[in-house]
Amino acid sequence: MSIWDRERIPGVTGRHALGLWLSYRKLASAGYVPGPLARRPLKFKLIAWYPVNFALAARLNAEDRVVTSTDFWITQLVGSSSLAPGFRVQLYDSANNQRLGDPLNFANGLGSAARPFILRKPYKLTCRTPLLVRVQNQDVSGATNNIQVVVIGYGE
Amino acid sequence: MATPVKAPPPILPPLRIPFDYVVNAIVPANSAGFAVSLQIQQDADFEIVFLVGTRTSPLADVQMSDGATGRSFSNAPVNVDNFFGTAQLPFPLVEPYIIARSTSVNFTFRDTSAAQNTIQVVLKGYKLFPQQNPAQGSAGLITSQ
Repeated sequence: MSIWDRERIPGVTGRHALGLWLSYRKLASAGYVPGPLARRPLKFKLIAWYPVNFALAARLNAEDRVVTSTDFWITQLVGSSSLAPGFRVQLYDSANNQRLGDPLNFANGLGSAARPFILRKPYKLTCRTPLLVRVQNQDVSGATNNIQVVVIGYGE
Repeated sequence: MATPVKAPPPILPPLRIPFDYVVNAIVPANSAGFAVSLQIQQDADFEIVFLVGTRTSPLADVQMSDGATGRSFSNAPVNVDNFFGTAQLPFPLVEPYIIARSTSVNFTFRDTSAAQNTIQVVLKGYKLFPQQNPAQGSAGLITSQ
């Protein structure tokens, strides 16, 4: 049977996962990426990167927000730090008044473009409701830490 | 007696031919906006599946926009290491994105490394040829899947 025609869920046209076979997960990829049902809302949507930048001195905190003009499905989280100690990050969904976890070392909550943290089920942000990004610089050297957190997903 | 309605012919999935579009940029030191335009070829729509690339220094940003619609893919420049992966570890688009043929994709690079930054971005994916019209000309079908 052709992979393009395969229909594993009744009523849902089969679609090959294309790039969702992760080279580092190989055949286990399906356990780490959204399944066909979870990806249905993403069809014909536009991918978008929402970066949030911070430049923080030692141990400082900061907060910024991501606001989308349409409903937006978060699929991946990535981030980077210019200094090795990195930062802690916490996300807060103001639409639902929900903390999306406790503050995490960024390596535990964010990936990089090469190895993004892929949400097993895309998380929906309602339009015009901010997603707050709180960070705390973990560096103590006094140098400025340039931090970027990027929320990647699909919107209209 | 009612004439039986003829069912429309099935829409065949497109023929997918692997293809890479390459963007090379030699970004001058501390450049605030180095623009490069990528022309999508006329023969087929292009489905982006992976973003990969290389750079001299990670201290660079990129912003990408679809020339067909004028829409930018990000609200601000994204650090290159948060934008593309490598061939071994490519950045996957959870849902592939289709760019119409004969349109352009525009990139703007920014360097903060204080040195010339040689960046290559590769859009890896598939050319989509309609099965019923694989040698389409300028009036070919836009694929539906």
